[in-house]
Amino acid sequence: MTAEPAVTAAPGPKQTDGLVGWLQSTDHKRIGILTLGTAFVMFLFDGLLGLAMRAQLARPGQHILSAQQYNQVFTMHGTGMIGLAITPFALGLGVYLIPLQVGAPRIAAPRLTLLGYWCYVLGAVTLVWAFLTPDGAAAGWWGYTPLSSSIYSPGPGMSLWVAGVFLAACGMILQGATVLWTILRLRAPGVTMLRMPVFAWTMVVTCLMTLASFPSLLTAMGVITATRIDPGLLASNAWNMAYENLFWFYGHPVVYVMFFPFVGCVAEVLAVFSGRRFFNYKGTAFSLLAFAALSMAVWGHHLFISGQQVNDYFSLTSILLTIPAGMEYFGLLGTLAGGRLRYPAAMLFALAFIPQFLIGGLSGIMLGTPSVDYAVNNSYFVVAHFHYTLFAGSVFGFFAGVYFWWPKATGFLLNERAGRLHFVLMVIGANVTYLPMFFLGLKGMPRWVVSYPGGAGFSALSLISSIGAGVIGLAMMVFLYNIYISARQKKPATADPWGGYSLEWLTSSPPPRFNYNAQFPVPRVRSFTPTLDLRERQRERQRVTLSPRAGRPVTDTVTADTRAYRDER
Amino acid sequence: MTAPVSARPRPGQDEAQPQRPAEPGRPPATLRPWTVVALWAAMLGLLVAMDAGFGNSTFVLEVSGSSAGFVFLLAGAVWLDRRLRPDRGYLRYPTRIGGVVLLAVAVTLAWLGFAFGAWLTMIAAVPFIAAVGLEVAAHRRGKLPDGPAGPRRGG
Repeated sequence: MTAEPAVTAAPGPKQTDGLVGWLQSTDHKRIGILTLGTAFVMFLFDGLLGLAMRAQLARPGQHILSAQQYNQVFTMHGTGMIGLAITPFALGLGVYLIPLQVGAPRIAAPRLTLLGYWCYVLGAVTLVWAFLTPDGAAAGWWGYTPLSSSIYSPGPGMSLWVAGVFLAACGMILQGATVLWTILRLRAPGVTMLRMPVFAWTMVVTCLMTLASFPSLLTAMGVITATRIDPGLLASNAWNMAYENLFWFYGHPVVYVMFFPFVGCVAEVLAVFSGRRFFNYKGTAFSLLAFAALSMAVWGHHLFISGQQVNDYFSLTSILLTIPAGMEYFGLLGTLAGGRLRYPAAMLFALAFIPQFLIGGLSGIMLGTPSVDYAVNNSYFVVAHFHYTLFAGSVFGFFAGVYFWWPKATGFLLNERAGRLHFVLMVIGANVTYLPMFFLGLKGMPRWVVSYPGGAGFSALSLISSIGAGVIGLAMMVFLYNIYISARQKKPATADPWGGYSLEWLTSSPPPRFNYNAQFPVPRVRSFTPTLDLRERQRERQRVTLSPRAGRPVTDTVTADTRAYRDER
Repeated sequence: MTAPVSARPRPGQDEAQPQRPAEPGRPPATLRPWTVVALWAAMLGLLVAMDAGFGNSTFVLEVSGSSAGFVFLLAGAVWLDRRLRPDRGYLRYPTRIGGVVLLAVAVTLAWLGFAFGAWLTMIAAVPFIAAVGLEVAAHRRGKLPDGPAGPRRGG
């Protein structure tokens, strides 16, 4: 083929380094890294609050925290982990990766993405302020009315909480919208919907859910605002139930917003490190759509005991979720079957995700059954369930993604030995912390209690759980140490250190300003594994070339093939 | 062989998306982006109908139904954008982001007024007006392309 002059990048806005340069950049990679970095800081902060709660509950009758402080701590822990840490992890990954994965030079509406980041940061600051202020927000992460009204939660703390939640949600909506529009309208030629990586599909459903459910949270914050301005304004049980419906219409889908992207991370990691294409790709893509739709219709199971919902419907939809979830597990396990597995830290985290999330999912089916839910509602069984899904599931998926894409984003590799130590401590910590909570719940230990009597039979399991939380804290320190030593050593990463499958592995590490350029062009995309396709075609050419029947000088042909490979890219 | 990025159509040229020649009798399967969104909206609509069949409250149906309707509108927007602007060339956009930051600050102040008094909400008008001014100035001043030259085709 004839070589044509490559498209050259037009002189774009000059990128300045330093903190100011980063904070004002419209480069999706920088916004993505900023979002992920800020979310990680919030994750550590809210994790420390979790440790404080576990310290309080390690022994019966402790007084490390007062009752009011304990309420403030669990309110901030829940709000922060969901709204300021794991949701931004999910959408931040999308902001960083999606344009790269679909071959776009930028994200759609980069300034809106940046506005989203700023709204999120200001929301985070406001929420921390709400926590630190005297008589801070203490009405739980759900902020039920009338508890959150100005009668029962006086002072500015709860008002700041409302403002912070509103701003952070606005930020996530803006980022979700731009990621979705990038997928729908900015894909490179050849990248059809069914040629996108599994991660991009998970982001499609994540962003759809964000756009469909988060506005409900904004409306719910409006309801609290009204009750704080005039407590008599919406003072009826009908409005309390309306608030609960509005809140949980966001509150349950957000769990899946915090889940799907990490399934995408796990899917990418499992495929690459098992040396196989993702199994049942199309089935998984369609099951993701069904899964996301169903998960918009299960929120009522949080209100089973209210007696104000049609439990049959919400129980049915909750249990129907097992069908698409099963298809996704089928895809994950089918990818592993028969593969030649490699075990770097990313793969270990991805493998641990599978059984651990399964524990969370199976206990969720139990809770989707009203008769079981009546028995264990508001007990530690529920706490164990959602921590298995969000921490032992999603956070493990997140770390799989971090170890996998870190070299792409930074240009250097993380230390594998420290990564494995991090993994081991995380597995021990997560299971030692959350498994006893199932038994605590079955024994009848309620949630949201600052203390418990010594003779209640909760002491030993609570202590074990608290020790586990300490191990998780240690694991996080190992991860921070890993970043520190890896940044010092700066072991350079190639463009494709793992033998990846999707487009981002064809550009440099870290990628250039507009992701792809004359040196790293977007190739013709024929499947959802374009990089693997290129490698296979190159291997095939080499095989033909090295064959005695080729009848041509080997060196010349190899040169020609290399050129063809480069042209193809 | 294949079409490298350099062979992408220039303005005025045929902008047909390079496709592998279809096998005889088997047109290449395509899934349009708006179809994906509409399919998802239809699933939501089906679930709302099912919910109504179970006799859930009007409020619950309104919340979930409006969400499904919104997603239908989104599918329509994607379809319309594709129809009206089939060629997604790289848009020029202002490089100055001061207006964006100030807008976020204004929204924050407006909400903080709810915690500390309406006077703060009134103060929020200052950064809001400044944000609008900065945006107008930025749009008038310099817009730089954010991507390689030449049109692209997406969606």
